[in-house]
Amino acid sequence: MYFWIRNVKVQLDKIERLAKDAKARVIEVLRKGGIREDPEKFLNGLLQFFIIEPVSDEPTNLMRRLEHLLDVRERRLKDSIRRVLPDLGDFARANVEIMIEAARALDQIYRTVRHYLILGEKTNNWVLIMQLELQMPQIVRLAETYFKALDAFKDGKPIGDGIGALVAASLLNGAKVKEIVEDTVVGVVERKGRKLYVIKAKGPGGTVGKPGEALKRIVEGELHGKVSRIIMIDAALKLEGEKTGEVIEGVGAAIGDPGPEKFKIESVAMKNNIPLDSIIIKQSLEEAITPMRKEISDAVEEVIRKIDRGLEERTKEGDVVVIVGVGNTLGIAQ
Amino acid sequence: MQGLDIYGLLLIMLILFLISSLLRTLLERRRIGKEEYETKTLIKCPKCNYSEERNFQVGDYVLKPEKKCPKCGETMRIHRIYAVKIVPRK
Repeated sequence: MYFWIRNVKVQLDKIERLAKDAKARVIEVLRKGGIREDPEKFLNGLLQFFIIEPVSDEPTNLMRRLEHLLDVRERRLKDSIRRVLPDLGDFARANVEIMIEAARALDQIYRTVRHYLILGEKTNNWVLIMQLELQMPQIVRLAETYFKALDAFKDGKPIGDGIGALVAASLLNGAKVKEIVEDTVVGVVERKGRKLYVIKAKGPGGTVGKPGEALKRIVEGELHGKVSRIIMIDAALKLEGEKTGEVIEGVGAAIGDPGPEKFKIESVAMKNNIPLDSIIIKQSLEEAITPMRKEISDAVEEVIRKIDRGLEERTKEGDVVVIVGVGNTLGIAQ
Repeated sequence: MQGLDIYGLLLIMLILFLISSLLRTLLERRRIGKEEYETKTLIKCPKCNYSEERNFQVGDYVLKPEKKCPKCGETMRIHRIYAVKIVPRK
């Protein structure tokens, strides 16, 4: 047990260093952005900011209650950043926001591992220490991934998770768009004789927008349910051994949100009896939150080929189709 | 005496095997740890498809208008931004 504890402590020191370095980087960005209060104090206040999940024993309106809490959290974070960094542009502020999220994730990992280590030592619980020791390589890898992601967030480089947004941007190809919901845009393009409504988060700042709400407003508000098909494009976690950038088709709502957006998409599709197709681009967690690898970026053409085939095989000329490019649009405009 | 020699030989072989496995693991770890990427920006002309690749600069984003195309004079745009593996020089 002594050797396990020693090993966990060595790994914990590494995670602590990463968490501290991440914090230092965020503080540096806040200083450069002209923060109007003590950056360390400001960051510490956000690192342990929490959200209490709604009661799930009573499922009535569970998704709406969760969405409300997520909205309040998002607004609090955005407002506090806007208050201390008023001179920074919207996109730069969005990038600061996701940098804080990454630093928060690292801090959370560090505090959780430290908690179980101290608890195991205090109670002499060798099972707990052994579990920790066995999980440490994966935990350290996760911490390193979040740390690597900081650079991409700082410089505004597109990340692997943005592939859905990149496909949407390629389809729009500079077409006129409008902001239908906060941080979410929609543009209309013609392709293969079909009218495509393309939805994506508003770039190039780091945000995922609200694709579910945007889809609901377009399908039920503008098009009164007259949509032939919904096609969703998103990044998906690959299994170890699978090829990065592989493009796979399926059905269902391809979106990895906490629930409300996915619920809205499924509800809209079901209520209006619209077939829901999905195209995913495989990648690891590290690839999803670090600068987009070329293999992932190269998948855009393959995805568009699959969309074209889907349009030809499953819709007819003159049909209206909604394409949703899901993911963080960091470094990707429209 | 003969038996001891065989056991000694087996022990030496086992130790050599363990040392080589350890070295292999360490080398493999070092190789994986050294994997580094650099970010490139691909600029493309929407009219004649002429393209250029350069290093990423802070402020770049996909669809950002860039310089004029040296072939047809159309405004080029950032087409892709991606990370490529740095091949170590031998």
